[in-house]
Amino acid sequence: MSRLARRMDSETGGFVESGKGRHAVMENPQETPQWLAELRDTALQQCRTAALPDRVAHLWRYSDPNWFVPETAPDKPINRGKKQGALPDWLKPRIGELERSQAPHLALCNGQIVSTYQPPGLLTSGVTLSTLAAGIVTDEALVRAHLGRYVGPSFGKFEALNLATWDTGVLVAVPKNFVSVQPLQLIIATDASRAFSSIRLLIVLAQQSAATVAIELLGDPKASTAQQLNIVLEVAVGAGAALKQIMVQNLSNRTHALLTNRGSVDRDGHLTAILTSFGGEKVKADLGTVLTGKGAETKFVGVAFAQDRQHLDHHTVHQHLAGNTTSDLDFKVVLKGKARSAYTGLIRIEKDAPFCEAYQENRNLLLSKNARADSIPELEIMTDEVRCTHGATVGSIDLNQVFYLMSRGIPNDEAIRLIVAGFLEHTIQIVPDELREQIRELAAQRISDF
Amino acid sequence: MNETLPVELKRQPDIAAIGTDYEAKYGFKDPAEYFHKGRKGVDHEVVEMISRMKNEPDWMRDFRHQSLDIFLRKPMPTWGNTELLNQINFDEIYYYVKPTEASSGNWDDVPDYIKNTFDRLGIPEAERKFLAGVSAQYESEVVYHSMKEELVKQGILFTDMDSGLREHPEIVKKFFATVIPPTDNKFAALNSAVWSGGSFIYIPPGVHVDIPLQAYFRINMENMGQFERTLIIADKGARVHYIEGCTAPVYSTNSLHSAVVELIALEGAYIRYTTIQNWANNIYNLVTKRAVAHKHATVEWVDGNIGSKLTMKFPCIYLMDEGAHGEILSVAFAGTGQHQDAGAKVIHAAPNTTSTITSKSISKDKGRASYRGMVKVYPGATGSKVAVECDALLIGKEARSDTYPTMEIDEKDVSIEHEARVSKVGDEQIFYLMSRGLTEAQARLMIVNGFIEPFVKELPMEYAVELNRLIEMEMEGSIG
Repeated sequence: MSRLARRMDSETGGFVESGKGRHAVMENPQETPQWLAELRDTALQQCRTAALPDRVAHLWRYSDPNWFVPETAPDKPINRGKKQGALPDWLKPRIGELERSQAPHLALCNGQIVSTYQPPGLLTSGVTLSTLAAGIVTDEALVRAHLGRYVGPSFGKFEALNLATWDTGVLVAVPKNFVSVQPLQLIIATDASRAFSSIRLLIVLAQQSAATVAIELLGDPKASTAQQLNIVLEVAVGAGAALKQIMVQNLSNRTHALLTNRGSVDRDGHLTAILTSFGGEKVKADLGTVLTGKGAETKFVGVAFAQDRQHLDHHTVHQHLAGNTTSDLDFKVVLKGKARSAYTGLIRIEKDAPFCEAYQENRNLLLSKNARADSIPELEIMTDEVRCTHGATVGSIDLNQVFYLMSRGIPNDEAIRLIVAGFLEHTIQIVPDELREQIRELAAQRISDF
Repeated sequence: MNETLPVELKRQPDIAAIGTDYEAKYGFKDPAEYFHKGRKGVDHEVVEMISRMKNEPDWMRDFRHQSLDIFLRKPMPTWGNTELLNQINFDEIYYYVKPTEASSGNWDDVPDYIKNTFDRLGIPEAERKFLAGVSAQYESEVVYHSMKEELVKQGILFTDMDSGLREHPEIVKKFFATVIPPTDNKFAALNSAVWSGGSFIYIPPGVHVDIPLQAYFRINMENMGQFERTLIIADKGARVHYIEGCTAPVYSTNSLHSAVVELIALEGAYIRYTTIQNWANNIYNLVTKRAVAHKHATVEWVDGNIGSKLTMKFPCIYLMDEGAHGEILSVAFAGTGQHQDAGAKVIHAAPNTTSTITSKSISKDKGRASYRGMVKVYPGATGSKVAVECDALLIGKEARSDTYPTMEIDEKDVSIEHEARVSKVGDEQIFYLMSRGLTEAQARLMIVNGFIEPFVKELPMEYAVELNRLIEMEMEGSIG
């Protein structure tokens, strides 16, 4: 056992004995329901007994689990002297923008609400857009039915840690048959005033409902102090419901973040998950969708753009539990500087799931000599009535394309910028209007010098 | 109606009748009259005994003992089909069985029961027809060996590995275990400790061997472990094509085949290594095969996996110098009770190196076929090009296919492509062929044959015919 692992063990052990920290995260500790206390206790036990992920297993071959072991006790966040709940300067423009647009949103910074707005129509519709702690009070039955169901206590050591210790949470719940036209926007911002945060997000779409949910994970762009995040996102898409989920990851470049996402899609449900991954020093994301009902569909579109010494490790799982289900994945990676990307993707079609279709494509574009890309697209197919393909490519910019553009009078650097922008544009196109420019801007900043 | 059928289908009278003849054709057992049969299990005493019986130099004996220590120290692999792997009982295996006193260059000197075996397998016939040299291994030792006169005159060395060590110690010592050290994996360590037999080939600079050299490996005994060791060196500008085949009788208990094969292609050389593995379904086939290709050299692995209970075999090519080229072409057929865990590895360690991997797998009934691959490009290997293509065909609701490719790319100026497809035989394809007068079985077979065509066309004619026949056998009863 590593030194760090031992430390986590003793620290979380201390967490049990103090007992206080757990309840302190609730807004009103007296109302902590019994089931939640038990769920956290179970998760804590699992966290203490589970081993750190095995690096022999290839999902952790490229990232060191110790990066995500909390440097401090989870229940004793080190308050590095800043006043909590204050809106940091770097976040102000984005919040201002949101408030001006009158978009339904909930913005949290270091676990505190810094801005929220729900148009009157949404308030009366039964849609919940609140902190998870508040959601437990207002929608207790719903939270109880879904919390920890997709990323539960036995999922893994880090995921159990999250379930035991989350202190920042968001609940988005859309009632049956309701179609939310405006995207619901969430901002989860953290800075280094807390060395470690556990963040838990839950999105539940009841049957025949539809919504677009945008999640921005933001960090201080000029951060000089290290921080660690453990984020879990659970998503349930009910029968016939449709969710478009966009995640913009732009954490500080001193952040070690572990992100676990599981979506469950019921009969004839549809989930489109869009991920744009830009920030973080060391980020490991495990993103999965389980197709549980016949006719369920999922589409994953992702872009990762890393520079300097960033390390981005993305894993996707598409599990077909039911027949006639479809999954489609398109993940693009651009690397410059000494950045490194590892992508591992799995499509698994179970024995009792005939007539499935699954596609997976991973393309890696290397802009610098010292960049490194690893790709492991995997298939596990247990039945014969399937159509399943995957493809992966790694390479640098096609010089023929550069030559063509230069022959039209476009200078070399500009030609390369255009080609990279074109490589990403297909993905950016399907991002909702509210976020598209912002993502283009993030990509453009990175292409401006290479 | 028969008039419209393609020739190859016409000569198949009744497809449903074909098959179940592995037992008849390859599954026969010989009465054992062994010259020496060691005891079960492996320890330093057994290793010492093998080395003494072979009268080996000290360096090889030390190498064996060191390898055994590595084997005993190394844990079993924790990846792959661990459930099957952990069923191997290393104490229940015979590690060294010597059927005859000495290898022979004259077919008449081979004991009758062994001669009958290879006669039934068609080896002497094949030798007369199209081979430049033949080596036949029975249990642990090569019992028959011959090579055409003119090849001997050109300075080509083709012997069993033991004779190679005795007669050409300077070449063996220089290259042996340089490509696959005993520390590579547990089974390579085991082979290094108890190896016996296998082929040793050296082709002098500039010599082209235009017709293939062949080795045939036969396991006859129950609970047998066969650990042949093959080393092929093609000197500058030399060319060689080597073929191996393997079969065994069907027993209720399992046997272990764990070979180590090292290929070295020096500057401008060309080596093609063809295997058609048709072990009985009680054999664990855990083989380490690796090649090194130097400047402008080419190495090709043509790898067919039809038999065995569990095969774990990932032919590998290290492209060490500029302009080296590697090609791996593999076919796996997994029926019920079989797991073909096959694949390919290519390591690009120099600029302007190229490689292609083509893998075709067929999983039928409860069979499982996996492709496990690795493509690695080291920094500085600019201009490297890799193309990987994996196709899998599933026949039956419970058939399973896995694809586990790994790509580790440390260089920007490269072109790496990987593609895989998994599907079943299309109903519309069957329907189309049936509308042209084929029966369903004929249509299905034709589609399967078409699927593996890129592989079959790389085989020498006789092997292609044999492989097609094997596929027919395996496809028997696949309707519905």
